[in-house]
Order: sequence, then C-alpha cells, then structure tokens
Amino acid sequence: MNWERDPMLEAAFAEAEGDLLDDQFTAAVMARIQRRQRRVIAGRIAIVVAVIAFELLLSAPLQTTVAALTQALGTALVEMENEWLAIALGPLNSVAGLIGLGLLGLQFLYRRLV
Amino acid sequence: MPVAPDHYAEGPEALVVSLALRGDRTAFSELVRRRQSWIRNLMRRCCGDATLAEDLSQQVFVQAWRKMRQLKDPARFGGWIKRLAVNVWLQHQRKADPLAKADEIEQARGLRGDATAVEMDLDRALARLPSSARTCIILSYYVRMTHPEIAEATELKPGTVKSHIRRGAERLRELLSAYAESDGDAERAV
Repeated sequence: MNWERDPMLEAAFAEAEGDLLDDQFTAAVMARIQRRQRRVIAGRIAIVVAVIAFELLLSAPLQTTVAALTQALGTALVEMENEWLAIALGPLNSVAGLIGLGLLGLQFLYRRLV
Repeated sequence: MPVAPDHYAEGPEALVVSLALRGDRTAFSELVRRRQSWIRNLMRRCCGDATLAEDLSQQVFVQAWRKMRQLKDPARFGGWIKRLAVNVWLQHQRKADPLAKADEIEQARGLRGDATAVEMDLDRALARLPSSARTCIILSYYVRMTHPEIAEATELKPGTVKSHIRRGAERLRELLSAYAESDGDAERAV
C-alpha cells in the first residue's frame, strides 16, 4: 500500500507544532489525580462501612433463614423405616432432591424444545 | 503547584517512568511536564476547541496514572502515552458528541493568543474538514500512524482511511494555499 505523506502538509504540521509547556497544566493534572484518589479512598471506606453494617444488621436473620432452608430442604418426602435405605435414598427422597429432579426435567424439556 | 526537582527534570525518561511506576507523584508530574505539549497540540488539532482540548489532555494523564502498571517497559512510555491519547480522543468522538458529528467545526475556537500564523492557518483549515477526514489526517501527519494502524484505531476500513486521507490532504492543501495567499495580500496592503 502506498501511503507517502504530502511534503507540504508534513512541513505545515512540523512548523505548527508549538511548544505548550505550562506549569499550570501540570498542576491541574496532579490536582485532578489527587481528587480522583480521594474519591477512590472514600468509595472504599463506604464499601467497608456497608459490609460492617450488613454484618451487624442482617447476619442473625440470614443465619436463621439459612438454617430453616437447610432443614426444609432435607425433609424426607416418604418416611422409611429402614435406616440404611433412608440414608441411601436421602439425596432423592427429600425436598432438595425433588427440586433438583424438577430442574433437570426442565433443562431436558428446554433442550428438546429449543 | 508541584514542581519537579531538578534531578527529575534532568533524569532520563525511562528512569523517571520507573519512579512513577512505583507511585512517585513528583516523577509523574515531571512526565506530564515533558509530554504535555505533544498531547495538548494533538487534542487542539483534533477538536479545535481549546477548553475541550485541555480537558481531554488532562484526562489522558489521569488515565496514564491509573494505568501505569500496564506499562511493562519504561522505555516505551512515549509511544504508550501517545496511543492512550489517540484512544481518549477516539472514545470521546464515539460518544454522542455533537461536536464530533458535525461535519465541520464552524471555526477553530479559543485559539491561543501566542499561536503562530502557521498554527492558526493549520487549525482553521483542519476545522473545515469533515470530522473523520480530520481525524485520519491528524493521525497520519501528526501522530505518524500508518494507514493500517489508523484503520485499526478508528475501526474504519483501510480503503475508507486511504480515501479520507487523500481527499482531506487535497482539501487541506487548497485551504492552506488560500490562507497563505490572503496573508500575503494583507501584508502587501500594510
């Protein structure tokens, strides 16, 4: 590919390259960087405060909810007298197992339809 | 106002860059001092608006400070910051910016009082080019990028870049010749 530059325009660009040295510009850039860093630090502090507040306010209700969910998901669907059979079929014979199977069924149907 | 001490001002750029990479702000301010002229000239040529050009130039250095760790080789700082400046301009242009969409900038605004006649003529002529052609011409003649590099940076087809540069250069030559003639007439009249 031929991409020679026009000598007249090259000369014009070279001649027009003025020296824009200015200490105020440097000071403005550094002030902007400092402002940005202050904002970043303030943002990080806000995140830490939010995490601590979340921990203090919501950790106890969350733990209760998780415990209740765990218990509910493990509930057997059919009561079995044989203890070993109950343990072996535990993953399927539970609310969690039912939800899991339901999701697998939905995924299978989706693949068949799409 | 941070003033770089003499030992920074006299130090080789790779060394100053290495110091800036370690978080030395004084070293970075020295890099700003050294590179500002090229970047501010680029932005002035591109947007023809002194205030916007100053803002975009400052953005270049703020981004440079933020992304310094991406620079693997301090000796390549010059090329790296030039590419960063071009990207800042192109990103600005891609945003829904009425200035970028306008085919012509009505006139180069806010020109410096100390600008030479050649600078003023060039800025006036560039301002009259369509925005894509202006960008391609500046990237070719000022940033010294090749056509394939311009095509990659601007996301234009290589053929489009070539045609923008060819037509833009023709128009720029015409305008500069006309300005030179009118300047000559004015001088003779005086």
